[in-house]
Amino acid sequence: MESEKKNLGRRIIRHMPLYLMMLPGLAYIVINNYMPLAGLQLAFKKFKYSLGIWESPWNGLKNFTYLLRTGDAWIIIRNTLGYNLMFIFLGTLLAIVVAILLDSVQHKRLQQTYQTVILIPYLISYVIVSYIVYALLGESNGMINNSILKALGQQAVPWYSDPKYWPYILTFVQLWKTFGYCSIIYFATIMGIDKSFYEAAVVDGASTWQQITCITLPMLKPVIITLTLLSIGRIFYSDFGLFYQVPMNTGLLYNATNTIDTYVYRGLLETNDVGRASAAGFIQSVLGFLLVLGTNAIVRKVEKEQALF
Amino acid sequence: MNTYDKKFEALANVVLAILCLTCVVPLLLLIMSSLTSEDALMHNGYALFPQKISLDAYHYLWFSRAQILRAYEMTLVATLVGTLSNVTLTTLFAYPLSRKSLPGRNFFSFAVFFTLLFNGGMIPTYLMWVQVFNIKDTFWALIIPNLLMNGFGIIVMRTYFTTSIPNEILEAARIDGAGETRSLLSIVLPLSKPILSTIALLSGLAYWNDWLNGLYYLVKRTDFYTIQNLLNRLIASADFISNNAANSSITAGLTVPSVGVRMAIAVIALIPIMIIYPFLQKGFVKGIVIGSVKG
Amino acid sequence: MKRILSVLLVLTMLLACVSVASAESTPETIQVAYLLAMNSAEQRQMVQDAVNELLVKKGLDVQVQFVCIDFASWATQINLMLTDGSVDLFNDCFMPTVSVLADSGSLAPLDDLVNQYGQGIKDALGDYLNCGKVGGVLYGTPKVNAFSSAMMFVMRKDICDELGIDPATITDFTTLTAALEKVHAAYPDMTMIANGSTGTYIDAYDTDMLGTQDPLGCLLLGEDSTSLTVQNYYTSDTFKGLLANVKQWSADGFYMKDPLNAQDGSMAYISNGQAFGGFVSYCDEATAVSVQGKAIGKDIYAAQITAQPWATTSNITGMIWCVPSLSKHQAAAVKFLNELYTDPDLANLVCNGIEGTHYVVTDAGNITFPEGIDAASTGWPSGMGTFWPNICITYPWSPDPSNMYQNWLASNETCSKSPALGFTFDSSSVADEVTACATVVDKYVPALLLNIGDTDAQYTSFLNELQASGIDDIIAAKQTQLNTWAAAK
Repeated sequence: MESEKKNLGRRIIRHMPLYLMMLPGLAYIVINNYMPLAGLQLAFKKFKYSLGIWESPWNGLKNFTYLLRTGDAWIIIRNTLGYNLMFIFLGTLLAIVVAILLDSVQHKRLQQTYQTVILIPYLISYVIVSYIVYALLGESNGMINNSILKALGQQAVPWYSDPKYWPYILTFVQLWKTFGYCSIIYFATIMGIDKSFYEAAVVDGASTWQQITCITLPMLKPVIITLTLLSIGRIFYSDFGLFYQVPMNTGLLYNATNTIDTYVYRGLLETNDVGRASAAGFIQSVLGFLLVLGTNAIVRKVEKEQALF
Repeated sequence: MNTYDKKFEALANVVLAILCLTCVVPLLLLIMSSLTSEDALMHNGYALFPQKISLDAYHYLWFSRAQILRAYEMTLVATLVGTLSNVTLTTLFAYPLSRKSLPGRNFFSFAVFFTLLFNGGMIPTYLMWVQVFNIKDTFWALIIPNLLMNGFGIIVMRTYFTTSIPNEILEAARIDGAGETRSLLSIVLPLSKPILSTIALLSGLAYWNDWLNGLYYLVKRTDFYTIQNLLNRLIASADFISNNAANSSITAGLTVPSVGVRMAIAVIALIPIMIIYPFLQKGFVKGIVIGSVKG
Repeated sequence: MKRILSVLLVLTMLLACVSVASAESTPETIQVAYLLAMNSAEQRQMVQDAVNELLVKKGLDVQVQFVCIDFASWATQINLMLTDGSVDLFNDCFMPTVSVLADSGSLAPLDDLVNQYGQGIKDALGDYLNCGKVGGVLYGTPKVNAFSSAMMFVMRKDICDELGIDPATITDFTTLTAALEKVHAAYPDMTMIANGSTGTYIDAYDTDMLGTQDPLGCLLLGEDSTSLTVQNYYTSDTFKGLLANVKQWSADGFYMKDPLNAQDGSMAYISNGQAFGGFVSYCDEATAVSVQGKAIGKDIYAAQITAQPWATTSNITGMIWCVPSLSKHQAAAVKFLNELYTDPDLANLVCNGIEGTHYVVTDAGNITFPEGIDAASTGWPSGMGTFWPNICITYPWSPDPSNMYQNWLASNETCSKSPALGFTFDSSSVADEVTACATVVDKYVPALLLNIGDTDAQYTSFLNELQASGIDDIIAAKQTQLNTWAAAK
């Protein structure tokens, strides 16, 4: 025990340069991320501007009750989780495929062009995306109804008044907007794989498919696991722009578009209630946190090396 | 590398070309709608080849050209300064975390991960930066809050270091008597170009797209506004002029092509970064290589 | 010795008084939030200097700094500034209502300060000052305005004249529908009733929403103008009657294409020629024509659809001047506010800019732009006068008649007043129910009011979901508070 302690002390001293390297970043995290966490108490307080965060009176669980007051609570939770699961699964798949394809392009100029172009959607804000979607899907003057379906002699489709189309539309828009961005990290990882692995494989007569499944994917596994764990942590959150602005806040579509964040936004629009907003964030974080802890524990059991922490 | 089948490469080109098309077509639609007259939009609908071209939207924005240029300048400076600081901080933090022998490694990793899930909310964060660090109405408001380093980048980089930098090389260096700083600069960084430029890109995009810091912390110094802040304000003003009922005379004889203006604003925010992005990326990677060789 | 001491004592006391007095005479600088449309920093400084010069000349120990905030940032930035007291005076437009702000402790109670420094405010507002009260405490002062409103329909003058439609004959929904049918026959491609973004085009009318901005529980003034019984607007005959009209209008094809996806305000569609008319709320037809005509940029008529204009608390909330609870210059803020309500020179400065630079007075007693300046090139926005506390002591802009604001003030005396005028509901006890109902209303009302889908089935499930979300609790809470208020009156 004594020697172990001494040992730890020695190890810490030996790693001093590393700790010094971490110091600036650590200071930033403490200031930027941990100090404001004092604000989490607002979830349990009735926030009074005149009294500030610390002096405001406690409120028990009163800030949380509105989340379950709505008759749509089930639909809202179903939408939030359902869409996120879909996004995690399809988004990861698409990003990996794109990264592998990008890597296989030999022509450097072309590769760079692809890389730049697929980032365009990420740079367009959701407000503008909503105009583009409307330009495509508008019932009377959208491009699909107006130029394509009409030319084919088909009936115009009332996109904005029937919720059944929206799971597909929202999934498509989300994937479209983020696939370029998500593939960046996978692409960087593939770029970092030691080329000699592939060369050796080719000497052994491996096909392209075999190179991908036996070298690329296993090397990507840690990244996939890490990114998926991170997404699971945010599974109770939803992108407000995607679910509020893209369907243009159309009431008829709420069954397919209402998520926790849009419900909170609509509900608190008129009261701007700080305590209730914190309460929603708090519960979204805690549930996500528990899920990640669970998943991480499983990963740790199967493969200790790959666990997040 | 040239280990893949030629056929596979051809297929990759086709698929990527199609994907690029799905990114470019909406962009074209955006550009075209910004050039279509309001009339034609309403009567003929949206189309890739509008029947009547109109420059009204850009004409309206021309009034604000001085502000737009100034805001671009701010965005560029903030993005460059912010990205460089971000990559430096992230690397310095992620590298030690990737070292399996580091005591407390798990604790620090967890501490980083925790910041990705929990945040104190807008008001506590604002009060801290404003009251403790006096950041309001300074240039640093664009750089420091929220964007200087983020847990996501650290975790991604740490994962890269652990998987792509073989431990044996570091061990060999240590036996040769290299200190941690030298290992990082002369061994790890040259092997990490892809992830360094990736983190730079992620951070650069975050700075480029950010408008919250300007919204929260720049109240009197709107001359520090970035392009995103300015464009938000222009959209709001255009909305105001086309919507506001109670104002007198301000809109008399002043027609604002409101849909077109919003599209034009999006185009203005988008085109320059598309043009400079490849140069930035190239320059950045070069800079890192030079820096690490010198070190 | 004693004498010398007492002389010394008196001297020190005198000195102390002098030093206190000199400390008081350095003016306090207050931060006044100002909603900015578009203007230049230099011209803003010019107006601010002129305001401060005027304050010095008047001997007021207050100086002012404008904090200019644009529409996009207003709600967020004001909210943040309420947390650290970096603003001293603001208008609650685009913000939660005064009762919500007061409940969250954002606002300073103003009774004492207004009694001490705000005689001019009291004189300018009279009983309407009560609309800034929540639970008997004054938290804000309404801006002077035409306080009553009736439902109006504004429409293109050229088309009316061409088809021989006399706006005076349009007095209710039936006559309006007949007129619109006539226009529709002549202009089949034109939208008859324009709507704004997310489909909204007509507010709840003939109701008193009791200081809130939603009609979940309200007084139905059109059905019984004296009753203090809170009712559900969505089950009322008023709303059902409107729905019947909506069906007719929908069948007639009066609405826009894709009304739920509209991206502009309804008036913009009249302005660009796509629509014939739309609903607005104003105190009288002349005001509607004057204000909307300029916004639309075309000649228009206005026809009053509901029987009479009503003054209710809800008409008045939403444009109330408040002092944050964390402000360190509350007295100075109220002193300045008092000047804004009473001094025409000051009011003209903030509303219209500097005479000669931003406006010139015409022979007709109204004002217009100086030579070579127009709405686009002026540095001090000419249309923002309605933001400030008292536009009624300033010059109207040409072509409005010079007595326009006097007419507003007169209408405030003569209009019908809701029996609950001055009562503001504090919703904090039923906040959960209000939140749940807000989503239900957003979900159903736009489609119901545009007759999209199977509206009969939608209406039924709308009422059921409101019930399930607790609308009865909201109504009961409103009734209880209203009864208490009425008993104390």
